[in-house]
Amino acid sequence: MHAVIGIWTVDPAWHDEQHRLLREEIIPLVRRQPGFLTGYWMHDPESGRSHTTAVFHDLESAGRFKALVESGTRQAARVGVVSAVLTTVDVVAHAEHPDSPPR
Amino acid sequence: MEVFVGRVRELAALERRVAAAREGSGALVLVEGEAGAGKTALAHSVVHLARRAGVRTVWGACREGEGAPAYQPWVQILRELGHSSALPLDPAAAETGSRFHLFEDVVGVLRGAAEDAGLLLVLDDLHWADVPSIRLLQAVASAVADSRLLVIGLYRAGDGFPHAGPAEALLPLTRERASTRLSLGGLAPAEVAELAEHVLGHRPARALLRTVEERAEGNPLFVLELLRLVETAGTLDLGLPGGVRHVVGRRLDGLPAATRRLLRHAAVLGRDFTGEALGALVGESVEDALDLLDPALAAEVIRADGHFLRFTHVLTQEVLYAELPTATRRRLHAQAADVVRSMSAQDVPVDALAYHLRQSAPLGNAEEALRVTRAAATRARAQLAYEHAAFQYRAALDLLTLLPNGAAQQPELLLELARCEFRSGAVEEAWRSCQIAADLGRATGEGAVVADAATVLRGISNSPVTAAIHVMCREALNLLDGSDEVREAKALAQLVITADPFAERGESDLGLRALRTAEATGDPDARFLAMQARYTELADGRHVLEQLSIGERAIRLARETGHHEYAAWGHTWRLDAFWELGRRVQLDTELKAFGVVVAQLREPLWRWRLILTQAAVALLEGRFEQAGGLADEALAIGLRAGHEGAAFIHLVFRSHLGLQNGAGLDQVEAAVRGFVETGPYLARSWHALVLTGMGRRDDAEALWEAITPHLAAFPRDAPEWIVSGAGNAQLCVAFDDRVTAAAVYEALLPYADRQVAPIAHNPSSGPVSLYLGMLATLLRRWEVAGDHLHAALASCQAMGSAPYEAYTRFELARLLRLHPPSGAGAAAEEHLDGALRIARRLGMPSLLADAEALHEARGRAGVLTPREEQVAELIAEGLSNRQIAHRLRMAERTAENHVTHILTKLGFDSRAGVAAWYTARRHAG
Repeated sequence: MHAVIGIWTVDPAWHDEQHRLLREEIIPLVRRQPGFLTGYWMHDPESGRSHTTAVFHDLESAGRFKALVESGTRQAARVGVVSAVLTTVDVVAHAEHPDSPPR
Repeated sequence: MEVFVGRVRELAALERRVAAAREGSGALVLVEGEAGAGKTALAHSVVHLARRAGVRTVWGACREGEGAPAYQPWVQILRELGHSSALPLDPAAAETGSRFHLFEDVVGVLRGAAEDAGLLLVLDDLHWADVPSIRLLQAVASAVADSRLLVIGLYRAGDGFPHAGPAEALLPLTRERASTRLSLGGLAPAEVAELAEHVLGHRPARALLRTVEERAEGNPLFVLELLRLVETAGTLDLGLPGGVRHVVGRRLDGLPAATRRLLRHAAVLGRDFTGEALGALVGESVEDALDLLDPALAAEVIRADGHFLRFTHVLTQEVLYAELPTATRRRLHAQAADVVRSMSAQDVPVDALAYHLRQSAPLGNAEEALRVTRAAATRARAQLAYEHAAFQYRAALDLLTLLPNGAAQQPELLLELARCEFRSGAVEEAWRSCQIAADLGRATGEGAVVADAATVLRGISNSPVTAAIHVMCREALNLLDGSDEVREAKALAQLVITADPFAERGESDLGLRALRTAEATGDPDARFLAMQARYTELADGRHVLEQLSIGERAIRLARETGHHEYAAWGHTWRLDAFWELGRRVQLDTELKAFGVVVAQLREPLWRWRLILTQAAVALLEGRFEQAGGLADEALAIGLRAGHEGAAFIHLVFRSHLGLQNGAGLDQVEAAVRGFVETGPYLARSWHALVLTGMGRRDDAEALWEAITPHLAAFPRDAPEWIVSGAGNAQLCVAFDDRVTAAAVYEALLPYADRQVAPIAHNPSSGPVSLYLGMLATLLRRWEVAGDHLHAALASCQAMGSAPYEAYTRFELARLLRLHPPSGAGAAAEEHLDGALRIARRLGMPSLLADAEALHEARGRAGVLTPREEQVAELIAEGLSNRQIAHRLRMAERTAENHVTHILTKLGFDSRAGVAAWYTARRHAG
């Protein structure tokens, strides 16, 4: 498995628009990506930064997704979101609670 | 008929040059002399000689006057060689092309053409050349030494230059390795007599000869003109006015009035003209015009050169032009503009058209003159002839006073001028133009103009202009007030880039704001400038992951826009990050990709950066000789590219090299001293480090004591901070300064997993953990010191750095020697042997001496127990037995016993001996 990790600076002035975009456009788009397994969108209120993780079945899918994200920097900047770090990493371990429903 | 006498020495010298060029030792010969000194005649003789020897010869002449296009002599030469497409005429090329690239292509064509039997190029009238042509000549001159190419450049000496530009541009040519200069002085009396006999057909009377000699002062043209006067007038009027112009004018008196009038009109067209153009100008048929010119041809005032007619000497044209009243001249220029337009249906020569329109602008066509002059500027810029474009923009600015709305166009023209000046390397001039434009913008409240003025100059750091640009950016942002996102992003980015790295940061994340704004606009230039700004903000060792990402974005932007330079910066930033992280495999991969981009760019400054990075890798691995060679090669390229910082970075390399292999430290010390006298105060610790390396401990210590109270003032977010911290750590250890060591240790600790690597093309100083280990050892934090040094050892091995592995092993041996845990004796010995082996193999004399001293001290060291070690340390501090007992919480008698045992074991008969031994051992290791 391979993950695309992002760290984003987020301008809180655009909070509502960011969340609308995330729910209505980004998450459905990511779900449709080939090889996509799971994703997390997280926010650190202390630093004001958002952290994202999207896990893919294979490196090629992860790379394709990363390129897709890179091509959207203009749209992101328009709602006050700028990428600080965007990188593809290897997933070396994975754990779930035994009672978690199967994916 | 051309008459050529004298110049035997010069001709012989040039003949030798032709022969050498044929053998593969080309050259540039600059022939200077006053008007009429016989430069062209000499060159014609050389051409004749060369042709006889089977050498191909090509002639390129620079045209006087403002109507000449850029690169004219070179266009002539390349066309003659069948390579007219070697100069880019497509404006689209200017966007991504580089002038260095273009010049290199021309050099390649010329070297290729010279390959078989040799090639002689003559560039006539260089004093009229456009500056880009001279810059191209410089590029050619730097590549002739090992070619079969001989270039002869002819120019008027002294005040012969109508503009300062070509005169200044010619100067560096005289410094080229394969360049020589011939100065043509006056003819000797015997040569004047020979010339006179040639012209008159008999030997003239002695009195006449003497008068000609005195008047002409050996100037061949003047001699000829005076003798021709004698031929026509029968005698030499002793009342003749002095000065060759007047004599030339007098000779024209012999021509029919209609011919002379027609010649005056021809003079408006330039030194070269066609019968068709002249006929059209005066409203005569070509045949009638040519008939009228016959007497001038017969008198050799003009001569036919293929389709063109040419004034034999430019002075003749100047005399005739000066005879025209101003109003007539303007009218004729207006007509000449019509002729130029009507005779060139497809490719209008904009430079000539612009020139004629400007000369006639006061008659009411200033609007058109401005439009065409701007077109000429745009074209020159597309040809990367920036100086010529700047000249056209200056001419355009001069026209504005003739236009009712002229003032409104001034800021825009000034900014275009500034851009061309900056790209031609004239930074001061460019900044002046920006300032004038900004003044105008301020007066009218146009933030856009101020913002543009603030962002013309790029990459200017460590200069007084930097601070001024910074202030201007602030002004621009206030004036823009959110009205123009692209300009706001650029001004913000420039504000960050030009911030003083040694000043406290006021607002944080301005670069991020710039990036957000720039990304939202999508403007590539704004995006790149903002990335550069963001990188500047992040270059403090704490944001490597962001550095990697921003570098990747720049590389992506390069792919999107075709700007290789963005990719080159992107790779540079990623190289910085991989250096800092100590990721050798990734560093090598990135360096390879960087090399590919640099090969595409073919820019000397990028080659300079690439070679320096290679030198830094060589230094890191201990390939000292190769590192020195690469650094020297980089210096030569950097200086040739006009990079002021090249000498400084070379000094940094020499300093690193000298401290490791002991070479050239005296010169390094002098140069570093010179730098720190005017540089930032805290750079003095660099000087102290060099003095320590030279063994001048007292001088270094005095300097260190002066610096330490100010160390806290060093801004933590300056990119040089970690480098300075590493240097200070070494000085703390050298001078046993535990107070400062504690502070330096705390400050360096957050970077424990990094390498000391400021920017990619500077040398690395190994892992930060090495310095933390040294400091912890000094502070007696034995366990922590061991952890740091073991981490350092792993890092050195991962980076493939033998020299820093040697330093680390030496520090480990020293630590284990000072604080021997049980069973670590063998480990200490192993580390010391490792350090000695590497120091011998690579040639690191200073480390070798320290390691050998530690090796020798080993014999005595092992005999003391850990408790006796503690007592010996306190003896070295000058404590009495009572004080030792108090410090170690033991009875005084016990302390006395320990001291006795120590004296016995070490074989000393006094406490002073123990103190000296202990101190020396600690300094040695």
